[in-house]
Amino acid sequence: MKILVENLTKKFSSVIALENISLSIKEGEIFGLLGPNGAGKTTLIKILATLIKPTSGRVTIDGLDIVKDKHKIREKIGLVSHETYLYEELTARENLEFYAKLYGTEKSVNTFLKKVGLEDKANVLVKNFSRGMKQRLAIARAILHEPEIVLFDEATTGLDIKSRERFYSMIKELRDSGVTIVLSTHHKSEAKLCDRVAYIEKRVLKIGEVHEVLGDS
Amino acid sequence: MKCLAIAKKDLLLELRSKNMINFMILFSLVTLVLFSYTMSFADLQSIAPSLLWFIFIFVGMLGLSRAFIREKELGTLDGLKIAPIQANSILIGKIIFNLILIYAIQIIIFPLSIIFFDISVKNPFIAFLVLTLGNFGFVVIGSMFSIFIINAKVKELLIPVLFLPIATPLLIVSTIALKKSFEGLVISNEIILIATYIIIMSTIAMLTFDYALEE
Repeated sequence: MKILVENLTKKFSSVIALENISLSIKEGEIFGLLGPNGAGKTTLIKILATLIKPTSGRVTIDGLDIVKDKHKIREKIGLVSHETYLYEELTARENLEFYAKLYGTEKSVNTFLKKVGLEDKANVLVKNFSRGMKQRLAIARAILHEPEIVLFDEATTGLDIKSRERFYSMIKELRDSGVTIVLSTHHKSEAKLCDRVAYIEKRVLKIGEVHEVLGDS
Repeated sequence: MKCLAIAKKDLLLELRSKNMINFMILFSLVTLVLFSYTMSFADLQSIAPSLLWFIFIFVGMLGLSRAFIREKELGTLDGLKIAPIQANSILIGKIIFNLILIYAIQIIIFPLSIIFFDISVKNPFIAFLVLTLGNFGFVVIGSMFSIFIINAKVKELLIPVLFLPIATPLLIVSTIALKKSFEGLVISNEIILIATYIIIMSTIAMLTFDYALEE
């Protein structure tokens, strides 16, 4: 298993965000996290991204513990959230070059700008980008170091239909290149991209293939 | 050298937005002019070291508190946190950026203060060294505290409350050292005290930063 979550609980003071969650994600699959607002999807993604620590339970990625081996895990993951983590006063190229230095990657940022269709906007300040362009650049930022796992946390929030379609094709391209994808979403259309999904509401209520969890609608 | 990438990025952002540097320079110049016009040169000779530190405290606190608040406001702090870098690289990057800002102010304000206050400085090189060293300590503590307050509701108000009591010993010794350097006196003891203080605070900052960065 690529990602293994065992009896994971996360509390914020007295508020329980996740309670006794257990699930496993296979290498190379697109795994969806579904659930209403406040269900704990973002908390789970943040734990997988090493941004917050679990209160109890254990999460491993390739056998590495998410708390003890966070630096090694960070080399393996990319995160695309509704926050783009981009600097508006820098150009697309400057943003990617900055993150490339942090990740110690030698690959040219042009390759990634081309991949997300922004090569002609490389020298434009990000503040002049549309929401869709920012999200495409955020994907480029997240895959700069060629991670084995990419986490998407409601990354299509605020995107129009065209941008969303483009976004879906990028996710499929990533999967085809062998990347494991964890996708947190509200949208049924996005869930259909997934090989398996888990419906969570603080705990895992259902897990399985999309049609098993959502029905055939 | 990932810390240098962070410092370079912050510098580029600051040069483009000029959010802080303009205010820092303006505040420093207004204070210099105000005091030079309202106080006698005899008085200025004795209070100039304190006045200079007064300027650096205010402009410094403005810049230091912004170091991490800006990342938080831009929503980019998590982007730094998930990068496979040591947490201390982020701190050192911020310290380098803050030092560049404060030293830029120092280079402008120190010579201007000699002109505006008409003060005689027996040993300008040593006086500049004292300011440089004092500002270094000031920036280390300020950068460290700016991460502690990142999740507080009243961030900008909280930083002086936490920062000033801790920085007071440094400021007192630095002011005495600056006054002595103006008079051409030996300040080796003060330099040792400031350097010791910086080493202690840097060690505390390095040991605690990783924990402070985590939510």
